[in-house]
Amino acid sequence: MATSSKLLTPKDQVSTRTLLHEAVPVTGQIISGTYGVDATPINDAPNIKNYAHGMFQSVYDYPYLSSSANHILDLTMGYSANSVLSKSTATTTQQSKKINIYNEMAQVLVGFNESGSIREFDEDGDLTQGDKIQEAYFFNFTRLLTKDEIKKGSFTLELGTNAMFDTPFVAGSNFSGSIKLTDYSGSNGYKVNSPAGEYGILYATSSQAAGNQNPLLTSKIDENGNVPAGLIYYQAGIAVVTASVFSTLLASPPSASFAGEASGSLTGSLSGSSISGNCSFLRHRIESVSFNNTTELNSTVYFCRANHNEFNYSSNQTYTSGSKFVVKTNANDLPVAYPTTVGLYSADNELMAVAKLSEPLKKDPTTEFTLRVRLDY
Amino acid sequence: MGFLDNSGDIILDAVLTDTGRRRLAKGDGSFNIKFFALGDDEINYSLYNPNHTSGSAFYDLDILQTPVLEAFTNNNASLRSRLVSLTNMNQLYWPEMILRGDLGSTAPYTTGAFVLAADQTTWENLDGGTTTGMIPGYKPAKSLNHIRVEQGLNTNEVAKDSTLDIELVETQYAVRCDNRLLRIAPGPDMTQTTTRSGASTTFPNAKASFSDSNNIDTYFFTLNSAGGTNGYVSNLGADSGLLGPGGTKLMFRLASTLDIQTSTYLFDTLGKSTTFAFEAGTAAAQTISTVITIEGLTTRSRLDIDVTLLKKS
Repeated sequence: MATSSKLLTPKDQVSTRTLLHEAVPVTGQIISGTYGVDATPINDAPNIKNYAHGMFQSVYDYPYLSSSANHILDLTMGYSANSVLSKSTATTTQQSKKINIYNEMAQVLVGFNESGSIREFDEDGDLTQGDKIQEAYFFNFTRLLTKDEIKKGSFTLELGTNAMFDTPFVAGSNFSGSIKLTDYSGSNGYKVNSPAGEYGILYATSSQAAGNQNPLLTSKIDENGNVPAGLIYYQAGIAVVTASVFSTLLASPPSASFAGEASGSLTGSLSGSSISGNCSFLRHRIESVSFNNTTELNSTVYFCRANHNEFNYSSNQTYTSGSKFVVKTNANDLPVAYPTTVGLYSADNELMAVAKLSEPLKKDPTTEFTLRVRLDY
Repeated sequence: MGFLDNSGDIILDAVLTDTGRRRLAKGDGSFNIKFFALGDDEINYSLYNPNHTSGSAFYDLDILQTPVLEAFTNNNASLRSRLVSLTNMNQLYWPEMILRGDLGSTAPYTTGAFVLAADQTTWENLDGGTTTGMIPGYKPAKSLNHIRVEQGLNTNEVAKDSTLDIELVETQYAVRCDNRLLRIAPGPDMTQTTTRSGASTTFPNAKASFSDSNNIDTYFFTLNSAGGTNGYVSNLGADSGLLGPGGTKLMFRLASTLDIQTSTYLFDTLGKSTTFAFEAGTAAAQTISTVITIEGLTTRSRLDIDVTLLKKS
């Protein structure tokens, strides 16, 4: 009986899981507004999208009205209802929205305590004790970039910390001009007590010399010389950075000695400027962001075994001439065929998947081979 | 569709077909891979040169250098020619399918295609003149014209009255056509159900086994499966048009869909405006060119038949 397909038994298939990583470098120029004049108001750049509700700001890699634009991240900020800023009698803008944003992010990423209250972000991941991050910037990276999750230990964020707005990355002032946040312990020191999955601590590297304007709090410096300055939620793709990253780290409220957006202090900006205004201020100071994303591939591998006595003839219309095989002169010549394609069929003979070989293989009764076809889901 | 890089290791480029994706999305367990097959669509075996002066290692040199296209997701565009396993390694002849065009009622039109009159008006403007290769799509039984495909060895190197190896006899055919345009109707050995007077009511149009997302219907016809005299498929007898021994034959007519009969939308969209020689003279018409594919499910031989749908303007 002539047959043209072969049954795949359970022994001919196996399921595997592999992780695929891609490097995602995002230059600060894109975030700070490559496509527009980075001036007052800096959120006018055409790749920055602001909304009427003013709750967050979206960053694209190209003017967002273009169909070529890719959504990179959303920026927002907020502070806890327990923050000194929320109790400030100074002029405030969008106070309730900032608290709402903080609470939204906290309830999703940190969860609730035993009394049902929203927990605050914790600087070291120990929710039962220690200092809290009460004023924070939130970097919500899109799924386009993070895919299934951010690879642990790969996240780096560099921020300009010079007091002068026009020269944020120039050395000589706060943290020698810039500060680098990394999750260097992420690959083996991540936390698992978040309802949003695993997260790591973002550490600020200690590079400034003594006497700088805003030193790291010495009490916070760990054995590697780093200070916790935020959290990175790997599966959620969200980085939470303390607002005090621009002042004395983890001091709350952040130091008022830092010149904020064009004029005014950091605290003045946090409470007195809109969320969009704070995001624009933050964007201006982002030097670079980079991480590796992770895509989880669930694969089924089908071992398509062509035995010596199988698949040696072809139904190709060029295979015969006058009903006679063109590859055989005599009946006892060996048949030969040249497969280029593997088709995977359902039980009702419908073609479910196609795999192409990069070059034709020679198949005759003296050869056998196994083609390993992997389908990723 | 690009070519695959063939400069290094042999790699496999695998994709789900549109049908595979649709079944996966259904989530009803219908995406269940059970078989595999090998295909060689890109290979032109006429490049095989058994007379190469440098010896057998060079017979297939040109074939092995054939660049391979990336995978298509259209499930009808892939594996159009499949590799076949035969128990007999000494097989030298392979059956083919031919369109039997030398009989009055089975000959195609002069263009080589069958002309399907889309509606009654079109047919009535043809009927009375020469209607060779023309089928009344609105009522196929109104004419004896039909399509007849014969399968067997088309060579006089094997005696015509010898018996075709049972391994090479097609017992089941798959017929694929565009479901926006065509239906498969019974051949002349069967009659057709119709609400119009003048035809008996034994067999309806064939029912497609499934339709894919590219509007292609697939019909399966099995030897003697449809009852009646001999159904769509029957054994070839002495009336074979093949040079050698025959296996089976497939006979059917074509019917036009209701859309084709009643509307010009598909003609405007897929067809072209032209003129056609009707009985009373040349007149304006619209045509759509399409192809019916017939595949033998035993030997995987294929035959494409051109069909022109004709609608008088």
